[in-house]
Amino acid sequence: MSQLLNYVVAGLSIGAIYALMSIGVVVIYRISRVVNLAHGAMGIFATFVFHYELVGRLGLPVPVAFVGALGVGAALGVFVERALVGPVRRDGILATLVMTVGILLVLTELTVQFWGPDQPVIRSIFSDRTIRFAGTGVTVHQLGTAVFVAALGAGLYVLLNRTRYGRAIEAIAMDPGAARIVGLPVRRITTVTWAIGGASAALAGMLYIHLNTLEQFSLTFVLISSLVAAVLGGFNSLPLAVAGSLAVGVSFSLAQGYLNDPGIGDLIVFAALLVVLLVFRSGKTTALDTVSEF
Amino acid sequence: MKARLRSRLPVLAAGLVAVAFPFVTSPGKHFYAVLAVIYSLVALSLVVLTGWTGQISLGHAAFLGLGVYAGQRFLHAGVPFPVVLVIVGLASAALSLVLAVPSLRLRGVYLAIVTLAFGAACERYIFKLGFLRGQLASTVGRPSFFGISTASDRNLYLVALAVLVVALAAVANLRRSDLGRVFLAVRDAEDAATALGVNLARSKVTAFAISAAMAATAGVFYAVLFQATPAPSQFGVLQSLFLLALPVVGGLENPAGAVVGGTLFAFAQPVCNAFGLRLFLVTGLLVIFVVLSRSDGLTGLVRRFVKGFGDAVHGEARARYGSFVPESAAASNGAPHPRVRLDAPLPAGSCLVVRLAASSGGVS
Amino acid sequence: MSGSLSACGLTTRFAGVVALHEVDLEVRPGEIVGLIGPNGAGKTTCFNSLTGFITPNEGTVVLNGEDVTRIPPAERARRGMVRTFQQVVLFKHLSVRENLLLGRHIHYGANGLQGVLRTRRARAAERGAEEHVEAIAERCGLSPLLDAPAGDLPYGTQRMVEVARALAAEPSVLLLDEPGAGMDPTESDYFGDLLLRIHDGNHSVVLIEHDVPMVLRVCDRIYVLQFGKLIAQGTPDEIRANAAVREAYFGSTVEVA
Repeated sequence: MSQLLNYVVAGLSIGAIYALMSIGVVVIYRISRVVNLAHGAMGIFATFVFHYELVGRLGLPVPVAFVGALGVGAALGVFVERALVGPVRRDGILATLVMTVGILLVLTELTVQFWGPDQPVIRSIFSDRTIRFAGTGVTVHQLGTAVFVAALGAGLYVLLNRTRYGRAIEAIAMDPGAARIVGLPVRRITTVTWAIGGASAALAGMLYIHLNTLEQFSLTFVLISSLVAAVLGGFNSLPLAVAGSLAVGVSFSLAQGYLNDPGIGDLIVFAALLVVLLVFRSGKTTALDTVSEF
Repeated sequence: MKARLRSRLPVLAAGLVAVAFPFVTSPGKHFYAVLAVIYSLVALSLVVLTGWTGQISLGHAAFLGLGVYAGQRFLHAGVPFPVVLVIVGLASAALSLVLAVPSLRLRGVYLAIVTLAFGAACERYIFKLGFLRGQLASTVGRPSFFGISTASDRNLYLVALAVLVVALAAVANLRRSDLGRVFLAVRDAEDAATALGVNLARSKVTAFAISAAMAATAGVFYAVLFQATPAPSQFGVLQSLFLLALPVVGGLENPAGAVVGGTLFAFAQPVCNAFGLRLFLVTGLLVIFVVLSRSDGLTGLVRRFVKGFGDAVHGEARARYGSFVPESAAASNGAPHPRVRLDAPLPAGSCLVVRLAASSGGVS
Repeated sequence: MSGSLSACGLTTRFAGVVALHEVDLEVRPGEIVGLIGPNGAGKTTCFNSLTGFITPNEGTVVLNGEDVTRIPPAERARRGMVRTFQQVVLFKHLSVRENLLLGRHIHYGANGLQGVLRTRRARAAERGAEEHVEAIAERCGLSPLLDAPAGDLPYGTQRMVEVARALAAEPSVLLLDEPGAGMDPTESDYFGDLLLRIHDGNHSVVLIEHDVPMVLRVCDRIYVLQFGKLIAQGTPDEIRANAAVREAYFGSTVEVA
């Protein structure tokens, strides 16, 4: 029983990271209709800036450096949008997707080029003290992660679905030209949204790598699970993406734990995706989307 | 006829260089030549899938890996090389259906994510399974292909080149047949294709199966070339992104782009090493450059440049296309209706203008 | 029976809004039937429901004596119902020739494998399709433009290409959604003549068109839709004389000679 609880808690902990990633992916998709495959790479890059530059070289206190790294992530998001993805958005989904693949490769390789192939231990703003309960326990770091997910998720949900800003984002995504004509500050809103996305990538990166000192590419594997979760909500729904992330995290953890077979979690995620898509398929589909698709 | 010969000249020249290559270079280069053929085959498979039908695969390295591991098993069991190519190709095509069918009715990015998750599952789990791995290819030795020994890299290269030429011919034929047109129609306008009786699902699945088969075939050559059981990460997610970059940089929409991209990246490895650059960094930068340039890869850039150069030499000779109403009918209506208008003096010897002039009887 | 199409009680709702309400339609072999009505009357929804791009909530569609209500759109095309779109949908990266060749898809006599191997059968199929396409292009005035990229043509000509592509499929029922939109007066005059000329009695045509004089000129019978309901039907003369139509449509939006 406590074994099960252990796996569930571990699963929720990793699921929270997936949720952070999928929140960022969904927010960026909502404004740009771009699935940002470079999201994980952006997070890793910001995390390495945090570790090597802000904490290591400048010697900033961890909380200050933490906020600084969020700024780096936001700046990265804005740069990617302004210089790389924005200019080719009208060229269609193939162009934007391939562009994010290029960014992924460059950012991942740059982290190695700048800071070497080492896999450093990343410090957290939270302590690693364990709070025990019901035969299991969570660290303060894990709890903090959960709080971040809840706060960010709820905040963005309200922002996107209950405010004028959210409606503006929807309008811009549908037709940037028309949105500009009716007087929406398209550029500013797009920039702010990508900044939020970039900062959330940095947040996910720092919180994840604190627990898992893995190679530079690892956050992209996390991203895959997050994308699968985002598929659940059709890349549009934050609550579904978060719920999907937690579900993926828990099933991942249970599979790894009980089957005791490294890597089988990835197989299960893949199988779950196929099942979800098959279920989706039987749902209502619309023909006649060529005209509205860009 | 002359124009046709001229358009084939680059192909003939490239073929000549490809055949002559191993006889004029040192054996050390032959390894990369085989790699170039393998990469070209994979890139070609992506031209059909992504360039033509617009479906994006972010897990093609998995099909390459399947070809490697399955190919080794079959070769080890003593199955003849050409037969292995066919079996592995068919098996890979069958496997591709598992991925393609669930993502059918959903447009755009879903197949990309399915293939991405498939690539991760292969890298982390499927390629670590005992029945696929555990065969040291070095114990197999290089097989002969229809009696030709592939013991030397040179012979292996020539055999692989022959397979590539067959694949290129098949793809060129495909492009000139109904199925090839259907693939492009599916990319350009699904509804219009449907309205003409095209079965979208079958067309997309067919393209995916063809593509998966070609990638796995390339994998068999990979196994023979490396003579070792590579780690699963060799066919993982990162590798898939790299493989997608080959035709993107070369040119996604035509087979020539696949060959250019494949060759470029095969020989880029030693060059990058020499300059202390990381190959994937260079790859990413090239991808970004190509997408920003809005051309169909490097071949598209060259074509654009050649066309611009031609226009500059001949004076700008772009014909503007006119109405379908014949001038006689239009004239009776009192409205001038030139079929074709040229912005500048006639270029000498342009076949387009000759044909138009002959059929419309006059160019204003 | 070739060329007959009938719809019975066709009703289509979008999220509660009734776009089409119990529409009955009858197209007899060899007829040119017009479908007119003010903007938003449900004309295109009617086409979408007939061709299967939208599944109607109620009603049946019968094509050449067969109930096709539950049959997917591509299969309906194979059975002879071919349509064009309100907004031109060409394969814009392909040449005009290749666009028209795709019209031959359902009559193409070779499969993909034969095409790849370029067997004798495949070559014959390709040659047959080419000849057919060249004949169509000749009739539609597109011969000189066969090698032009379809996306580079002026809009009116693109319309013509789309119609020619549908004609290449040799439909028994051809549904044209505003073919004249985007054509200049010369073009649309010529197009009307063309429609009558190519109309050899082997197929019937359903025509949505805002160019009312053209509809009155070429159609045998006309249906008038308003707010998703049929308000009138009859010959051009009857429609011209119909007070309800004048009130609902001509009087308010179009000056009719």
